[in-house]
Amino acid sequence: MDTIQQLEQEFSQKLSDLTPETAEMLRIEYLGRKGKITQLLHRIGELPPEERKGYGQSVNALKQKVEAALTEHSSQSGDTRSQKSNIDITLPGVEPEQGSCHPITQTIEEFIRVFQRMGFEIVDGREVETEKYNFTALNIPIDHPARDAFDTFYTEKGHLLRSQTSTVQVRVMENRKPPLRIIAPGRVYRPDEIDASHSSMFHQVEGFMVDEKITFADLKGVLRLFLTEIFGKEVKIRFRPHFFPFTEPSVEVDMMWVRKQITSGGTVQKSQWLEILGAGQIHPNVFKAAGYPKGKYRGFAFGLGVERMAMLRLGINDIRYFYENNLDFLSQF
Amino acid sequence: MKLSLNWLKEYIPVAQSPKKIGEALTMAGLEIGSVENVVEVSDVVLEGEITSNRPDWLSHLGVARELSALSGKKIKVPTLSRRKSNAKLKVTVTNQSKKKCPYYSCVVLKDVTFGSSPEFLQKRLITCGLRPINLIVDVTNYVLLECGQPLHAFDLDLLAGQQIIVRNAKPNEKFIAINDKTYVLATEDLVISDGKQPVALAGVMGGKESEVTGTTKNILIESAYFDPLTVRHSSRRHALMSDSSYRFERKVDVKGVDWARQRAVDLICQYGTVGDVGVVSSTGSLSARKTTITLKIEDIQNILAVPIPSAKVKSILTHLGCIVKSTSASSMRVEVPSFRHDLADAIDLIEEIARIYGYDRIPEHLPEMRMSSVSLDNPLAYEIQARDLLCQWGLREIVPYSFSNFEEVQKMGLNTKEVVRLVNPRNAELNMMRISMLDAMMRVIKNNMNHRNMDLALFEIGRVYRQSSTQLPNEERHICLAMTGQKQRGWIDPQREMNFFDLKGTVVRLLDEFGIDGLVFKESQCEGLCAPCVEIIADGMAVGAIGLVNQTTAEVFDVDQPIYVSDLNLDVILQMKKKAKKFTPIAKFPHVTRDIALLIDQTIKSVKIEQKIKSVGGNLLESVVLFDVYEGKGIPSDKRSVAFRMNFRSDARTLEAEEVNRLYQKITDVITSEFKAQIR
Repeated sequence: MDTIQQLEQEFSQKLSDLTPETAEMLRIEYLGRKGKITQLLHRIGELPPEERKGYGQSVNALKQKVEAALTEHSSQSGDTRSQKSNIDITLPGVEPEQGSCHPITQTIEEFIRVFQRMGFEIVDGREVETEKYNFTALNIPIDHPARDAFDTFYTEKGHLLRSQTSTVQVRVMENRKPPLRIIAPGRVYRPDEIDASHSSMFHQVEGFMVDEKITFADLKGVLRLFLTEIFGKEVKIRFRPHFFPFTEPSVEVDMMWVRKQITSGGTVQKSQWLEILGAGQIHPNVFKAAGYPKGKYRGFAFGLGVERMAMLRLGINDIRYFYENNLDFLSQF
Repeated sequence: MKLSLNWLKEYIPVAQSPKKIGEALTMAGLEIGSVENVVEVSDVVLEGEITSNRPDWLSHLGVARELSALSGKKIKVPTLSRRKSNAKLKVTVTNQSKKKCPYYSCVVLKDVTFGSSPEFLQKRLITCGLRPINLIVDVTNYVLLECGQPLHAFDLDLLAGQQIIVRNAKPNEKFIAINDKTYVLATEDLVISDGKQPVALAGVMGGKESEVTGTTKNILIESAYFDPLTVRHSSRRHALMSDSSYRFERKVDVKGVDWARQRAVDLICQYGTVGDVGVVSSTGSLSARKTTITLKIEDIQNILAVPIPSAKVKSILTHLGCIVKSTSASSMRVEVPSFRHDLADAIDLIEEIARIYGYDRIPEHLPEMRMSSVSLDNPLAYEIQARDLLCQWGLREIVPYSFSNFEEVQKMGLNTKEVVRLVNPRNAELNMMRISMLDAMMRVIKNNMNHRNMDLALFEIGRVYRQSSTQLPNEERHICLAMTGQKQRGWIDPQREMNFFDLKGTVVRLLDEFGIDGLVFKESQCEGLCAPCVEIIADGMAVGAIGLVNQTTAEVFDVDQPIYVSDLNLDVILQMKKKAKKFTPIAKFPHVTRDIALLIDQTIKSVKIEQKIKSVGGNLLESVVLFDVYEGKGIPSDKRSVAFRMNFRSDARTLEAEEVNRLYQKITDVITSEFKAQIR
């Protein structure tokens, strides 16, 4: 059994030829969980009670001495934990693997979050639909020129692929009573000629709010709040009359879009109004189709083109990139 | 629609700059896309986008009326001349389809001498994008652009029998239009025929053979009201759109039919020489029924949230051509003009008031909200959760088309019985709604490989569509995951190929996050996949599959590299009971770890050993994890080395080494005998 004095002598000898590599070993040998000094401390229970106090003090004094010596040594020679000094710290860090959400769903989720903060509820609608929900209930008569704007795919069974997310309006209203605050994102389909700005499949977010006293002023207020959340406080928008069969009054919302253009004379800022969403007070005929009592409820609805918004915000110039899903595209978002 | 500013100025005084006029119209709902000078005719053209509810804006008079409502100034409509007509000068008109043509009228102009149109008229046509031809043709175009009523002029001498028959086309009847194209007509088409053959496709286009030319002497001017649907169908059927069909489809003004014919005669008489004007030959009549709407004053404020004085309301409606019949404190009786088919209800009038009053003057307000119940178990919430997790785990989300190619899907060997096929695909290659997520995923992978992106970890959250016996097809939510190529690592870890277990781990983790555990993986045959291929079963239900893309599918998409795919049925997952997260008290006593490495036959499933360890280990065995698998060098070819790490722990005391050793020995004995395993 080592005595306190023996240990102290032994340690001073070892300290004299200490290297950075052996310093840590020495720390473990004396101060580790099973180290020599630790063991001395453990033995305190074997002593008669009157000797314990003096013994404990001496062991602790030694422990402090050893700690001080090792600390001093390491401050002279650098941290004993430090690895080789010739590490090339300019090598790239090993990054965690990170995937990415598609810019379309990123955009949709961002819109959803804003509307959820305003108390809107997300609802999902089906894509293969009947004439009723896509047209008739939305006050779009069969064979009307208004339908040209909603050119449609049909299935063999006489169903159609919804050409707009507004199908959700009557689907929800048939089953539920106001107050309603609904947001419904999803895929829609139109047999458009495919080019840089048209696709036969694209995404919309439909929203509507129905209660007893909703006005056109509420529509303006909610849409401005949404656009401010998305584009910032300085967003400049205007509400312009338009025609949609299922809303009246109908409105299109334009946003002032400022673009920097590089010309031979330098950079010029070009600004123009860009149409970003369609909206309006829900037409009484839509409430009628939903089976609501005449004149009882009022509300507004709006529809957003997701691709268009994503293209504007991300500076994407061809809608086809979205569906090609090239990694070089996806990894940018 | 191109609008000439000079022309508009004939009907209404405008002092504002062309740009301001364009803005004013835009903010009233007639979107002016561009305002440009037409230097060669000293005019300004306003390019208007006209919504389908406003055919009255497809004319200069209609737009002038809008400017009148916006400015409060009156419009000046050209007055018609009164003239004597020769009662003997007429043609016989027979109308065999009153339904498709409620009213047909025409008038003969005899011994007409004409040349070019006057300069002002030519200039206006040029501004509107038309090429002046001769007085007669120009006048019909001019009147169409003036009031919106399409007209047609025939060379009377080229009409066989000098008669007009309005009738359905005969089967396979041929018609040569003035665009020199020959159309084979359908019996649903309405034609204007002479004694022999069709001379016009009603409301769409006139015929080549009776066209007015420089040598024409006697002219027949037609003005009619054709059924919008009939014109629309003919125009669609023959892919033939004209300024005329565009207006008839959207309904012309019933009051404008006679006016336009008389206006054309006036202009021809004024700028040409006309020997004699005949009487009007006509058939049918147009309903003069007037629409009257009761507008409740309080509704205006209820909807627009702004009080608009009755006098202002009356002024707006009157300038738009309405007649306010009576006004009381609470309501107004409003008669709608014949050119506004779109005004049918009070709400339509309120929109008119809002438009002219100005949307920008309506205040903005945030609604007071009443609480409503919100359904919690929303499928979209799961989609969002899955999407976020998979992105965090290094996968890229894709959004491909939901269309498939039927032939391709058949070649892949997928079940095509319940396919939802499209009648009118945009692209013959994408002729059905997809029945599997696999082909879209493969297409994306192939496209990426073409761009030399060989290392891919992708997923899509979408739907597959299956015809159902009951009404609408089933739309099933799926998550499709795919991994192929090298696992993306930094420079420290060795590169390796992604494999079945990378995908399996991702799927298990995802389902665990959804609160689904106790998964069973059953080796099986899955569509489009081959071994290693498993069906994933939870709670007795098949929730999906994981496997290697099979040879057939790989060949269809011309991909060599092994691709692992998993398909999860989100709809099934949604229905399942989910385990809620719950706190377990943190252990007070330390655990003891023991490892066991075994040499086993390759036919033995590791999960069986794991289960056995668990059952022998009992309560004191806290966990068992497989942490190493080795095959190859140093091990017989039919054997595999597997190693498990076991943690032993008691929640009542610190375990003694002896106690653990005994338990470990017991486990070892059972495993070695039961699985004929050797301890390594």
